[in-house]
Amino acid sequence: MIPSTILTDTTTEPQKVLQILCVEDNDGDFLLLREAFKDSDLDSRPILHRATSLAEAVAKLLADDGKVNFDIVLLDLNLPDSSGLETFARIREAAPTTPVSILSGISDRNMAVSLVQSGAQDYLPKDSLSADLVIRSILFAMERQRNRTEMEEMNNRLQKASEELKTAQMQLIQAEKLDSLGRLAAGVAHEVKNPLATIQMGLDYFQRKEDLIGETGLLIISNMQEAVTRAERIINGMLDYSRDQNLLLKESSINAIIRHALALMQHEITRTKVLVIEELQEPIPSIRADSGKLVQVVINLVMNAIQSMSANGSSDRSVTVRTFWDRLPNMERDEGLRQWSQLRVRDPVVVVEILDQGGGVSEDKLSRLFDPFYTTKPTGEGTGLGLSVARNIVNLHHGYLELKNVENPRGLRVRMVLKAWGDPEGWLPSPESRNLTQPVTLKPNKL
Amino acid sequence: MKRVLIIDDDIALTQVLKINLDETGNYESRIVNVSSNAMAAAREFKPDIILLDVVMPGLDGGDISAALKQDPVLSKVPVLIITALVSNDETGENAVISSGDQVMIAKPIRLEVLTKAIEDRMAGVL
Repeated sequence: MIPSTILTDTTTEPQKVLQILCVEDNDGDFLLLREAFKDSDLDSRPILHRATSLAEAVAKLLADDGKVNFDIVLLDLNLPDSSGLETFARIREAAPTTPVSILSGISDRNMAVSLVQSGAQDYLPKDSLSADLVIRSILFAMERQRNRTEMEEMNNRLQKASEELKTAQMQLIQAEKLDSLGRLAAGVAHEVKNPLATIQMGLDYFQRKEDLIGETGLLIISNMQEAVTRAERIINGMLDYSRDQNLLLKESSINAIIRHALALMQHEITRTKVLVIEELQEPIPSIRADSGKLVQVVINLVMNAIQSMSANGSSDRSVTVRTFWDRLPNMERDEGLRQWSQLRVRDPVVVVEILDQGGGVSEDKLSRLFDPFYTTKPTGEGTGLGLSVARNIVNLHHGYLELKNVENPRGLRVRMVLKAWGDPEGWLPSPESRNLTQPVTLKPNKL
Repeated sequence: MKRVLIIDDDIALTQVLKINLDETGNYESRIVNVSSNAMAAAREFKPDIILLDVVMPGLDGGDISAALKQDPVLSKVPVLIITALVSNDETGENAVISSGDQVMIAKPIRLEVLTKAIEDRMAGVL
């Protein structure tokens, strides 16, 4: 006797009538099976569909298309139009996720057993069918199939996660490599150019002393001049190469960079129905930047802001993207490689502020947000590399990223601080008299 | 005769640079190799123009530039930043790159290019 509770234990859906496709050409065997179901003690009797050939069975499975939703196929391997392993393979192909239980006679028992080992869920010996056995077998077969599907899904998810991790790792390695290559090239170029400058000045001196050094001397000097020029060309080439890999610095407008990034994100903004409010100060000092790389950074930061709010499920959802210029209040110093563009007190800076309403990040997590592979997003949504790569790019510009929780409404404020190119004093309004453009709201497009 | 203050920690370079500039007959130059002495030397020498290196031990070109801006007298003295940090690729033909109040010139540099940049800077063209 099968207690009907097995059904409720093994199915997640409310109990439903079992739909069984019986592929059996032998009328006697089919009747036997039908009798077995009549005796069953289930609350609702299963519905038995029949196909007498492989072709008919395949057609029924393919045409099924969710209408009947066969719970299981009971399959006789030896049919008028197919036999043995071929039969099973064709059924599997037609309905990969439907459990199959083999109806086996004494002659093909061995094959049935081996099929169970290679994908069939169970087998039923035709010579000793009983109601209990059939029902139990069906329930177990369905359960096995469910487990198998779950396992496959899990495996897929695992594989996807592993691929994401690999991509992320490559991104990180690439960013680190670019950083160190750029530093190395800049360092070497600098160290070689200084002695070259001395030689150049020396040559300029001797070139003026024709009468003193004679014809041979002048020839030597002209060869030396050529050598200096060539060395300089090589050094510049190296610098340019590392810069190509690294940053293509050009005088750029931060507002144009932001507008470009937001335009690229329009689809995501529309999809998530988050309002993006632009408050871009005009005019604003230009910056020396690789605008392509900074567009990446802005997309990354705005995407984080949007995702923080969808995770929080807040109803009043907007991200504010703001720019303004200011003077730097605190010292930032990189003793490793000093650059003109490095930030100092009172330096004019261009600030990009991205403000979300996603509830902020707890203080202990805040300090870890820049760690590679650290993420607050659900598994599969974030690689944990976005912010660390973004920070790398901003650091390469000798700027910095800063995270801070804000209130009213609670959210995270991300600031990107970059050195202004040239001192805007005198030709731009002072930071105190901020002249923001009217806030522009990017409305999600109609879907 | 215009007075040129050269602030650069590279002793060899500054020596040859000074000889070249002085020999033109148009300039009288003074060298500062230790950047912490730069402000005092500048106040005493009263230069018409300052040639300033960027990467130096201790106070670097950025620090000195900031200090010069704070000084009521020296803030009016034009500065030419001479640095190996920018390449001729960035500066273009005339080896000069400028933006806002900064004018940079790339090392190594030909004397004629440098003297032209000095004149332009003093004339306020650069």
